[in-house]
Amino acid sequence: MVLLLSCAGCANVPPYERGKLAHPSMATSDMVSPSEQHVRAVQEGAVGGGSSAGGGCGCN
Amino acid sequence: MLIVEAALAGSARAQDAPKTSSVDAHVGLDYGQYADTDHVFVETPSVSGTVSDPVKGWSVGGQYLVDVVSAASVDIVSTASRRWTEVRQEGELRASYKPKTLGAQASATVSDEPDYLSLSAGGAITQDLADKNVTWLLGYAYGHDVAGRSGTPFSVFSRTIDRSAFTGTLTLVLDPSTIASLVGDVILENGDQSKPYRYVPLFAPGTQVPRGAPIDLVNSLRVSARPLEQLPLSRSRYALTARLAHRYHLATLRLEERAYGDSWLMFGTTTDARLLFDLGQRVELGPHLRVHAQKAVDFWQRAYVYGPGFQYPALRTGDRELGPLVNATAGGTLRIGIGGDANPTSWVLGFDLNATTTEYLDDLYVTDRISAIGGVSLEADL
Repeated sequence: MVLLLSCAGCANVPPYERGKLAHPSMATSDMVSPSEQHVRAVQEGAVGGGSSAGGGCGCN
Repeated sequence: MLIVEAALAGSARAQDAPKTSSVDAHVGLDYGQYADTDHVFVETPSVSGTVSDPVKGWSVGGQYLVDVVSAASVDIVSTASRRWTEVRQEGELRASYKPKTLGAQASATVSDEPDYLSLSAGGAITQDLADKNVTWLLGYAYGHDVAGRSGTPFSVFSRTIDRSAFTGTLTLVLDPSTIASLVGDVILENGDQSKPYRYVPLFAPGTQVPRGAPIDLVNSLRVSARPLEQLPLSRSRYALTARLAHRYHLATLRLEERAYGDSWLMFGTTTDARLLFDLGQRVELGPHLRVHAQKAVDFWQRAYVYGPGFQYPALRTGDRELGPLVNATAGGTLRIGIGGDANPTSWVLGFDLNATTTEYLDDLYVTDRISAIGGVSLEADL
């Protein structure tokens, strides 16, 4: 996180140099399937950092 | 096999048709299975779709999934209950509009199972700055949950939980091959989240109960009274997540680190890494590692004891995910482009498999659990 914050604002990449950034694997969202997302919500006490689908985890 | 053949035939037809508008459609089918050594089994089929116009900047989409959960875990056996099977359904609608640099998003989700109803809706605004080298997003979502007991109407027994979730995201282009984002989450929960099925064994002061003590030993040491779980009535949760993606010539490295803390004094850290290799134009292979470690909530005890006058501890839980634990996950994904030669990834068949080992550091009944989750998916750009 410190590395990320220290790099903030240190580049100005023009649109014609962003071909690699357009690759699907470079998406900024979390690349997780719905079922894996559910498992994480149940197995980890922590939340945050990804899209949230609310409660109702299907577990007891 | 039939699905693959149908997909190949459909993809060939889609490749033949010339595109006349800027509207894109994307559909996805996913089927996941989960199993663990605590005798829990889950099947999760889902379908999703998005229609968007990248030129005009709008997008609408949705997702529907079903969880079929079957469980005979040690927690169920320890209360002399039978294996149960339960079905949860979840639907989500979302829309976004970003004609230029300023945009807005909205989403709504409903999740329903026999003893739990969850509703949430939210929105966000986002803006590109510095010639799209910097993008920020501010979002808010409100959730309202109703928890009950299976077979009992909510009008007879129910508890409500209200949730406000604030999100702030900053995405930065660091160089022509690297993008990073920082996500901050604040989630405020109000309501009684105690599980109405979860009974907590109680012990006389001074009783020694070893970590992982089996059911028979716990039953021989505990007193006959076994109160229901009782959690605090509010919880404030905070998370800060940094995500970094770097594109090499034929591979992408994705790293994620999340720091978490809450008002129940649980603290956790999660590290996630994926390396996605391009094996030709049609195949992508992606090994995946994830480690999560957390400290217990401040009222966690392996063995709760009663106080003077046989008083129950005011706060008590048997939820292992509130205790100290370490999860380690290893697995990967395989994505195969089955579209036509002009655009091989317009149709993608995906497989994923992950295995997780969990070490419970201070719990009754179990000291560890091994679980596996696998899935197959089909995605298409129409």
